[in-house]
Amino acid sequence: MTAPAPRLARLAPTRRRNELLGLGILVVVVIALPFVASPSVLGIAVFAMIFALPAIGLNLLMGLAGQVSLGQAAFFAAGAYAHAILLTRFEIPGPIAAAAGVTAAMLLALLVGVPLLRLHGHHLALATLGLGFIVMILARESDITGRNTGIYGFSRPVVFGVTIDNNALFLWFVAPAVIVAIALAMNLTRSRVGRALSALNDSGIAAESLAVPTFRLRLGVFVLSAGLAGLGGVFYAYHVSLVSPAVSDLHLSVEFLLMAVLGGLGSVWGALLGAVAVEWLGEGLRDIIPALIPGAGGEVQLVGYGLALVVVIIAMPGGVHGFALSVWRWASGLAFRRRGSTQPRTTTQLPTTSPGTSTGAVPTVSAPVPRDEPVLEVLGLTKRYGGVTAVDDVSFTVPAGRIVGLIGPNGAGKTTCFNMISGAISPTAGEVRLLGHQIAARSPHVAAHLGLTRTFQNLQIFTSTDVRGNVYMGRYRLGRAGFLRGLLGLQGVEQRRQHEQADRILDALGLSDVADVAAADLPFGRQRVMEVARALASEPALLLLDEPMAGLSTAERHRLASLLSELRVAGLTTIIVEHDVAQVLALADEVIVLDDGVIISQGSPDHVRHDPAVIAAYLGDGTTDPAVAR
Amino acid sequence: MSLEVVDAVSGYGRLRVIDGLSCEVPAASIVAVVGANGAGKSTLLRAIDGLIPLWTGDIQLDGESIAGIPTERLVKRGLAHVPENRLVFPGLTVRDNLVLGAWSRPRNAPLDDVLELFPRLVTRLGQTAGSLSGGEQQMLAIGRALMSRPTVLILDEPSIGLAPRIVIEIMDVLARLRDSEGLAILLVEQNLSAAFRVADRAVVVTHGRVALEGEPEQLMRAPEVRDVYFGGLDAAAG
Amino acid sequence: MYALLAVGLIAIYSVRHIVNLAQGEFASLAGLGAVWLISVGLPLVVAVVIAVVSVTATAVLIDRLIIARVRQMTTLTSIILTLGVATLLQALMLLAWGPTARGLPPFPGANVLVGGVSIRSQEFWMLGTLVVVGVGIVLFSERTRLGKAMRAVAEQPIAARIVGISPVLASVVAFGIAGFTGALAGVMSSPLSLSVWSAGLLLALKGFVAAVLGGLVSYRAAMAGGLLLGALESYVAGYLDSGYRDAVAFLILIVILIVRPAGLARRVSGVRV
Repeated sequence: MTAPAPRLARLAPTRRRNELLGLGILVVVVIALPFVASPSVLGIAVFAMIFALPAIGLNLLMGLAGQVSLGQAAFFAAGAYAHAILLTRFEIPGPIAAAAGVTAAMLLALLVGVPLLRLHGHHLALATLGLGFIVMILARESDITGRNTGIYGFSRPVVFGVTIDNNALFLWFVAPAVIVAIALAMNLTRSRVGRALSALNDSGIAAESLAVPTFRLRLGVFVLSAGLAGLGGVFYAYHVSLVSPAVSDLHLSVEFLLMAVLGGLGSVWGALLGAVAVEWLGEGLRDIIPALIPGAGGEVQLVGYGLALVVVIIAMPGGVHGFALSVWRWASGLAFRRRGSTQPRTTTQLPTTSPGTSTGAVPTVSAPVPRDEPVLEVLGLTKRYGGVTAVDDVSFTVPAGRIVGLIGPNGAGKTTCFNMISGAISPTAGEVRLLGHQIAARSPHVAAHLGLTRTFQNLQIFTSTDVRGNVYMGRYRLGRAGFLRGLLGLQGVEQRRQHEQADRILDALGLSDVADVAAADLPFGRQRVMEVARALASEPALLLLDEPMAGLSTAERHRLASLLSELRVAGLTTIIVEHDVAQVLALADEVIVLDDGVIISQGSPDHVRHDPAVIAAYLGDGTTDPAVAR
Repeated sequence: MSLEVVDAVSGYGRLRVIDGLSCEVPAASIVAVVGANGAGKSTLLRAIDGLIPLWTGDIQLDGESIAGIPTERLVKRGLAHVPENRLVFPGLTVRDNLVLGAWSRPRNAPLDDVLELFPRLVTRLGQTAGSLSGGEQQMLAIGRALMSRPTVLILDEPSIGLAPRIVIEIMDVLARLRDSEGLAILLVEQNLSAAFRVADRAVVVTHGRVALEGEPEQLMRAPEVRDVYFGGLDAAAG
Repeated sequence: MYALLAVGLIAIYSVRHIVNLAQGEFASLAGLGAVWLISVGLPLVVAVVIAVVSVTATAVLIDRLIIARVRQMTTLTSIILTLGVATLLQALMLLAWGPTARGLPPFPGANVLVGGVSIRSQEFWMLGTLVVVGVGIVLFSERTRLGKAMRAVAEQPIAARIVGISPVLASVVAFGIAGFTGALAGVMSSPLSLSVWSAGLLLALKGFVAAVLGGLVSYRAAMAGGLLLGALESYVAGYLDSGYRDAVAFLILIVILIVRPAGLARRVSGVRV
């Protein structure tokens, strides 16, 4: 089963047109529906709209940021209850109560998010499940929420003098909120923050290394998702005029999850599609099943929901939206073939491993200190795992505008050193100072913010987007637009500038010919080059390269080496960990040799080349004659 | 039993790591496969043992193709693998590790013979494998592989992180196995002198293909070998 | 009861790294199934045995027919998948046996008075089952060849394959254990807390709390955790409204996950190369 198409496949403005078209169609459908649809269909449509809001939130949380929440109903309930209580008990006017409801949901999310979002994966999912239960219990047990009876008897909303008391009017009442929500979500997906969320879903460590504050962003999208759920709750309260503990039931959370997954996590539209599909499915099942199985009552539609969840995962991971998209692609592929023109995007047409031509321009780097002044100071760096010492009291200084090579046989501790410098792991002892600031044991994005950036031995590319999108992410630390500007789409100027810079870097590294190719489809060698381009996009002061040559052809290695030389002239400081000793000795100003966690040699390439300790470390103890063993 | 690799091509995802690699390990011999890191040595072993699929080419045990057979069934055919990083079961005792080595062929498991080969393990039978030193873990990993009475043994860089003295011990054990049991042994190593100490033939691999092949004494003197590692370094130790 | 569920959760998690959200359904299914078997005239013992066996078989079927079909199992997909299975099972139970909670008749035995507190015979049965299962699973895991093989798969899946241990076998055994312990939990607790179609996820969650206390690896710690959880709940129910009883579990869970994800278990010493 192939994976669904990358969510942010293209970093191009043309998507806008399709999105506006979609919104336009939605507006037309909403306006026309009450005139053409039967009452039951209208009823389903209203509920679909109401539930689309929490589904959109979940879509952003799970589809964009990859966080699982099984407690979306908790925020739905928070919104519904807060709104209802303010309306009935305190007689606060509608709009204010509604706003309070949404705020309540968001505050709850903030409160629980700070501790909970330290968790990931299973733990997070189950913690949110627990949250859902807690809210349900609180709702059931406290007086202010009316215990099991709930809150009821609130008056219909009045908009511009019109009382909203039937399904058609309610549809027109809630639809604007949904339309705005979809538009905002689409904006966010495309924005700097949205791309950062997608990136942290692809590779948290890579995102951190590009100065993305992952915790803060995850919290932000969590709160946003909760706000949407709360808004849904507000509308629900108005529509049903009754808020009971059922509103926070686990089964509702499952229903929201199903909407998001069934509709398709690949696009915000999936949430709406899913909401419609699930409501329609549920209604249908509630009619059919009691007819088939006499005496069946209660939540019978759950059969369908459970089955749908299982089937979607096994057979249709992209959901309805993904399925529709692949049908569309297949159909347009047919159309292209009939016209005789080549298909727009096939892997067979990918450029071969020979790199494209570059313009010769060198990407900008930052040089905060004069050449040969220390940029990085490593003092007594040590890492112990249980009884094993991987790195033992390693100290060295990296001067600005120089290339330092870190070599050593397998298992010498090079990557461990590297990881401690970049912040991926914490040292057992020792200090790392970047431009005077302590960065040891701090989150990687702290060092990244100061201008440290790195590549990874096991490539950490952002598979959800294309090559240009990857390089664009490198520009993160140079941007400013946050959640608000992202949602409102108010970052056009900044985005454009970043796109241009990204393009310039692609040019410099000979990647312009594949700028629009999905990063995951690129040949391995060019993926490596792309990772370097991404790192350079952040205009670093210190670049850490972890085995960049591995997997590159000879031509590519030479290109990379000459690029690094040019960058050195421009003032970039580089540390490179490599197995290709020849290349390192030819390129570096200074070489450090590690073996078994300690530095066994240090100095100019010539010095290291002739150092017997180094040769022994690599070739083994050359004094043993092979003939003796027989 | 002999092992033969015929024009093997394999890799990870889109990355082709071994690109038409062939080599032969006759019974009662040790063939060393050496080369710089990233040359494809470990990938070769993983492809032989079915941990990664073989794209094209073939792997044969005594002339019978084993390509495509799932890893867990290869032990029964007499192929044992001592993987990179040893991969002992850290929470289980030394004895348990060894016993599990005989999982596919539980009858007449040669526990005593293995302990005779590695006397150091005898005193540690009740200890958890995770608490052993690197050298002892390596011995345990080899012992575990031997428990299934293999006829072909493949080892991935057993000398990593070990003191030279221990490396020599281990190499000597391999020589004993070749001589007394007639094992066909494929030894992947980055440590040239350790491997050449016991190998009958050596194969030098670069960029996924065989670059040089021959007897260890000849290869040791060949300047190309130094080149393979250091690329133009003076052979200061030679 | 939570202890038993925790055992099942750990069995699956250690081998497959999946948190089986359907674990609670095994309990409800066995309980309701046994009740139904009795209602068609089978004696208690036979009903219980059949229920436990069939639920165990169901668990294995779920593994082979559903879980095994997913090529790329990520955390997200495993959660959604097991949630889907749980929901499906719940709905099937609802359709088959309706929404009312039912209980098995209490198992034979007398109530005992200990220090002024009356302990029902059923609670002895439960405790006894837990002891037997607990001893059994620990012995299995630490003394038998198969148990050690399972631990091997959990610790080093690649090396386990190299040595010849089939991952399919490991998965089947894990799910079998999960089905078995879940079913036992269901039938043993049915006379006291009744079986109902909708309780599964809540039970799974509480079982998960106990499993987390065991760091998701240690049977012993998880069982201790389960007992602890049960005790705490009863204690709290005495002071606060019984409605808040369930909240106890979740608060504990959240606190533990944040503060000490390794739970009560000692960490297995692994030497890093």
